Amino acid sequence: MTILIRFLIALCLAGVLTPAPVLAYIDPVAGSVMLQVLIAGALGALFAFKQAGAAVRMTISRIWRRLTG
Amino acid sequence: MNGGRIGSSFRDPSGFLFTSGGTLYRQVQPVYAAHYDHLRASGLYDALVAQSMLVRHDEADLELAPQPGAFKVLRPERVPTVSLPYEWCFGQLRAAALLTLRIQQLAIGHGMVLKDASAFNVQFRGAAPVFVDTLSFELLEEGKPWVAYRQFCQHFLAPLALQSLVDIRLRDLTRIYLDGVPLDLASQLLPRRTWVRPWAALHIHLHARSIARFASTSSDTGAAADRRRATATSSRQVSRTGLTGLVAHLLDAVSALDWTPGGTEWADYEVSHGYDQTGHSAKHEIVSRYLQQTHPGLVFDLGANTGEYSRLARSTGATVVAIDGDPSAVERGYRRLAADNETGILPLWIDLANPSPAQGWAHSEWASLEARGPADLVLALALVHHLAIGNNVPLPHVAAFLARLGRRVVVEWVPKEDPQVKRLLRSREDVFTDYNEAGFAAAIQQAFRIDERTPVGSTGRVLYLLSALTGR
Repeated sequence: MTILIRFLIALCLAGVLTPAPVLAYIDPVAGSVMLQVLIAGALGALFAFKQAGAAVRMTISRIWRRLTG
Repeated sequence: MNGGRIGSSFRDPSGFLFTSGGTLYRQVQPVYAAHYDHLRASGLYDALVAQSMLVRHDEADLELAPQPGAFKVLRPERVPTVSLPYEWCFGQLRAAALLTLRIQQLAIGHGMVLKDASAFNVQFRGAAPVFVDTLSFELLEEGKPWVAYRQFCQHFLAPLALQSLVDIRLRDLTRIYLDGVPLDLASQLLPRRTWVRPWAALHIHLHARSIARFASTSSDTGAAADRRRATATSSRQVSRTGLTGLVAHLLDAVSALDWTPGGTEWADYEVSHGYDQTGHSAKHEIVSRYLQQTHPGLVFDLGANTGEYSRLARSTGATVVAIDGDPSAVERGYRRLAADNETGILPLWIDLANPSPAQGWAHSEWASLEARGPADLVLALALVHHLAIGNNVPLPHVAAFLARLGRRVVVEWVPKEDPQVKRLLRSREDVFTDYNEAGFAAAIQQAFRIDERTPVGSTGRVLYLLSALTGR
């Protein structure tokens, strides 16, 4: 696990990320921000995939209802 | 609260709560102006209020601002009784977590995000959660990570996971850790098998390790450590889709967490209270009569179990706080109330032998249970023997505590011959020589005037209607 985290951190340090200020009155905590940055892309893709799947299912179901109704 | 700034309202520079003439207000500072204007102009405020997700507010006279230079003064709608996350049952914390995430989803759709995700931002109107911090919304900056991600995991996900997967009593960690359960602690306490659940692996276990990894470099002064911290805290790296995906993942995780209330000793009390039907009807009738006589606005039902008498009090128009120390009983009561969309009964899981104290900074952030009273009427039905025998609290101490909680009290005397008291004494020596009705009457008269005394049929139990001698 440590190796995985080190790899992901190295990825960030390699310049894949573009710096910009984070402004908030609560401390976002560096490690928490880092993890979020690393997982959000995958979770976003998963979400988009699920949304697309739901849209396809809805379309098929609509067509099916039209054909059988 | 006679007036002035609310004790818990000092962390966010965007504004603060204060009272004036018994009315609650919120001063909004100029630094929050753009965010507030967008909240209103984007339609987010209207959408949230229309769905009862956020408290409604009016804009009040700027002259009311206690500090000069206010941008706005708001008059938010008040919830009937303030409750605190460490008083909620599992279902309430879960409902509050889902509300917070749904608000975040809606906010993202309107170009805003929650800048904090504290469980203290949620209150309950009966069984319905409502968000109370109007200043929690800020403009969404494309690419900016969700600042409140850690706070959400500490305030909601970790305590829910611990209660659901380890032990319901771990709820009490939230009373100690007011900024949520530290994720390293949650990670240690959760079973190893939770590593195979993606939500637990990501949002708790890896999250805890990532925080520790960066914290361990906080004492470093080297250029590499500085670079690492700077990169982590100043990166524009989370797209709107990523943010939406993160929130959706948390929503799925919270939705999947559950806890089944078991058959604990008192959760089945309503069906095993030892009363026959006649005795039960007699008690119901007497309590009903006392309620009609007193017409209370606010009732504290202590030892409420699943809320039978709370419902009776509610039927007379009172707002009720139904308090019990048994998590299963409170959970069952809460689920029933939620299913009925009940907005006048607030169930709370509180151990009356150790009620919520004044908590937080300078003892003034979060009020004790007592400070949130007094209620117009306290119901203490089938309770005294639990305190006096179950917890060794002397009867005069019980009476004094009840007098601090309510102006008037309906209390049930349960004699030693009663099966419920015998049950408590079954495995211990009876050292309670003063536990008799004469001793009880003498104890309550130190704090109350006895208005009525009514035996409950032939059960041996007696109901008293009392008035506190020194009211608040």
